[in-house]
This record gives sequence, structure tokens and C-alpha cells, in this order.
Amino acid sequence: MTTRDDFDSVLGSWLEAEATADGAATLLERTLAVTAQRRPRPAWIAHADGARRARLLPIDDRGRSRLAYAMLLAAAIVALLVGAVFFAGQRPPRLSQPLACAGVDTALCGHTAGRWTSQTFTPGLMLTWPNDAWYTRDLPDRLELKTMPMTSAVIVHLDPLPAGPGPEQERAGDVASLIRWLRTAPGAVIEMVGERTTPTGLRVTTWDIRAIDPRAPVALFAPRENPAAPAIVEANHYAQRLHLVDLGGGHVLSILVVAYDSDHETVRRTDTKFDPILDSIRPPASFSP
Amino acid sequence: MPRELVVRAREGDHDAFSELASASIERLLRLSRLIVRDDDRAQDAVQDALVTAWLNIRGLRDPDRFDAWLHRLVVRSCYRAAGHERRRRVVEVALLPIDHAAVPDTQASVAIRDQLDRGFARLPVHLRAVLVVHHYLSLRDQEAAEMLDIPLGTMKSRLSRATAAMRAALEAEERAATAPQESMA
Repeated sequence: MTTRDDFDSVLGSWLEAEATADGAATLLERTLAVTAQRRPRPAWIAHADGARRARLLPIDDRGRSRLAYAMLLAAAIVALLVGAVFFAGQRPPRLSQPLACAGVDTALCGHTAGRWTSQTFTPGLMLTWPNDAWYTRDLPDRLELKTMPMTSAVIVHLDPLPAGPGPEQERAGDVASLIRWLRTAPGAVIEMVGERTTPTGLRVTTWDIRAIDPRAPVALFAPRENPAAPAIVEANHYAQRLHLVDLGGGHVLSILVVAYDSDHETVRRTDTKFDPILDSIRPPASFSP
Repeated sequence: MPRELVVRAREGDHDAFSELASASIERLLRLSRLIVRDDDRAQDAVQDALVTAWLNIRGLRDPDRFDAWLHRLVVRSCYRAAGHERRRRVVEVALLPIDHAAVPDTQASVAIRDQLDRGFARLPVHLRAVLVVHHYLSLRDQEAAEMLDIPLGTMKSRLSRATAAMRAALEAEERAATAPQESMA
């Protein structure tokens, strides 16, 4: 068996014998002919080039291989993500499926998450439920949305009119005239919360409303079909928030978020939950005459 | 290596650089041949390293480190040359010269040289480089690691693997040599 010292000695001697320098003179001549024709680079370029070479040509080629594999893997992951996004964009939207309904005549029905279209209130009006927590009552004159614990509701009407007497031009029912009416409605306190445009391109103005005297309700909006009928939106003892959504073509959605416990925090919480649904509203392609 | 020559070369004095190259080239060529195991590519690696050294000599901050820097450039060029060798997918086995002055020319030593040569040629380039800087340049571990641009622990583990591979090559030869005698006894 070869001892360690023997082995080192044998290997050292062998390397010494193998290490020949034949042709060094010719190589030197050839190399100096190349260098004589070139000038050293400025120091800052030499530093930068040294760093670049160290990056591009790491002396440890296994490190270089690892880097190459890592870059390849990263490129593959990016390609997969791009593909996934592309195919997700191609996929048809998920449709909401009906869940159990409660009640008989005015059934409150649940839905799975997904896109949903009104059949009765405004046929073709489209919403998207972010989850299965919402229940709807799809009625001819209104759409009601509720979520647990049902101390609040979201009530949607189409094309309301200002309630009560007023100049004829104020009864046009467009968003501007409704806002003018709200600002001058006697007995009600109206505070603007904000204005924005939904991702679907609809302009929304939002208001907090309450009655100056909670015991004296103030009618704000009346149904277009019968302006003399009871108000569909009134300032009263409930805590309420109103969204006016301009659907275009002279059509307006009145969306009232109402807290039956009269707590403004309930309104705010419900409105926050409702926010993605509001963002998803798409008007029908055409309104029924 | 005279510091003054390095300083002059750094200022663009080509004569000074020629002297430095002349003093180093045989050593560099031996180093390159051992690592690359191919004459032409070894010469190319040295030339590439010297041209790079000349072009970037103003980036050398410490003139006293010229030798180490030059060795490093050569080792890097050798790795590159070995990379080209791999990409060409050509296996070249160097033929042993018939007479070799440094090793007694007995049948046994020729067999050992042959075995070492084959064992060494089978090693990947990064293990060959470790053996060369350790056994031929006789660098200390830390210096060897710096020249190879790898952590000290990596250098030690590579040296251990390379040494084990070479010992295995030699011991295989010893077993082959003793086996017939044992069977005859």
C-alpha cells in the first residue's frame, strides 16, 4: 500500500516531470507581438472589466453551471406564469350557481361566487359575487342583497325620481338632478363620502344620509312608475349610505346600504363587503322599454 | 518579480511588461499544460491570460500581487479552455513520451506514470487545478483557494477528492501488479 508521503512524493514528481515548457519562447514572441499593438486600458475600465469577467466567467465552472441552471429554472417559471395568465385570460368567467332559497313568495336565495344576472329586477343587469355569503331577492321593483348577520341590507332601485314637490326640471331623474335634490332636501342631512369610477367604467357618487329629526322621516326618492307611492329612499332613524350609479343612457341605479341597528359602523362594514359587488356592476345591453 | 517593473508596466511601459512576461512564461505554460492537458489549448490559455494582463494592468492595485494575479488569470483562462474542450465533446488522450528524464525509466515507473496520467486525465478540470496548485506550485491552502477563487473549505474538499481519486488510480495499478505474483506463490 502506498503511504501518504510516498503518494505525495510520487504525485509531485510526476507533475514536475509532466510540466514541460516547450515552445515558451515562440509563445512569448507571439504574445508580445499582440500586446505591443495595444495599450492598457484606463484603470476604471480595467476595474469594471475585471468585475464583469468575474461575473461572466467565474473561475469555478461548477458555480457557473449552477447559475446557468438557476437562470434556466427562473425562465421556465416565468414562462409558466405567463402561460397561466394567458390561459386564465382566455377562460370564460365563472358563473354563479343558485343555492338554497328561504321563504315562499319573496324568496331570499343564496349563490355561489361568480357572475350573476338579474332575471326580474332589471333583466341583463350583471353582478359578480365575490363569495357565497350573499343572498338576493330579485323583485320587479327592486333588488335586495343581504349578508349575515342580516342586521343590514343593500337595496337597489332603477331610475328613481326626487320625492316630493319640486320644479319640473328637478324631476328629470338623471344623476345631476338627483344630487341637486339631495343637497336641498328639507329635513335631511346629506354628506358626500366620495366619487369614483368602477373598473367597469361606471361613475359612482356616494353619500351618507340621515334625518335631522330621527322621528320625522324625510322622503328622498320615489319610484318612477308611481311617484305618488311611498318613498323608496328616505332619511330616517336608520344609518344609511347611498350610492348613485350612472349606468349611461339616462339610467341611474340607486343603491341604499341600510343598517337596521342604526349603527354607522354596521353601514360601513356592510358597504366594505359590498364594494367588490359594486365594482362588478355591468348594465344590461339594452333596457326594457 | 521586481516591483519596479510592475509599476513601470502599469504606467504603460511595454518593455517592462515584456520583461515580466519573459520571466513568467515558462512557469505559466507549465501550469497551463498541467491543468488543460493539451498543448495548443495550454498555449492559447497563457497567451489569453498575458494579453488580458497587459490590457488590464492598470487595474492591478498592488504591484506585489502581480504574480498571484497572473496565475489567477491563467487558471481562469485554463477553465475557459477546458470549457471549450467540453463543448467540442472530443476526448483527447495525451500519449506518453517514450523517454522521460525526470522519472527513472524502469518498467514499474513507466506503469505508474501511465496510471497517474490516465487517472489525472479522467479528473474534471477543477480537481486537476487543485492538485496542480497544491502539489506543483506548493501553495498553502489559503493561497491556493484564493488563486482558484473558491472558499477554503471547498478547496480542501476538492483536494481530498482529487487525492483520493489519484490514490485509487495508483492502488489499482499496484493491485494489478501484485496479483499475478500472489497467484503464483
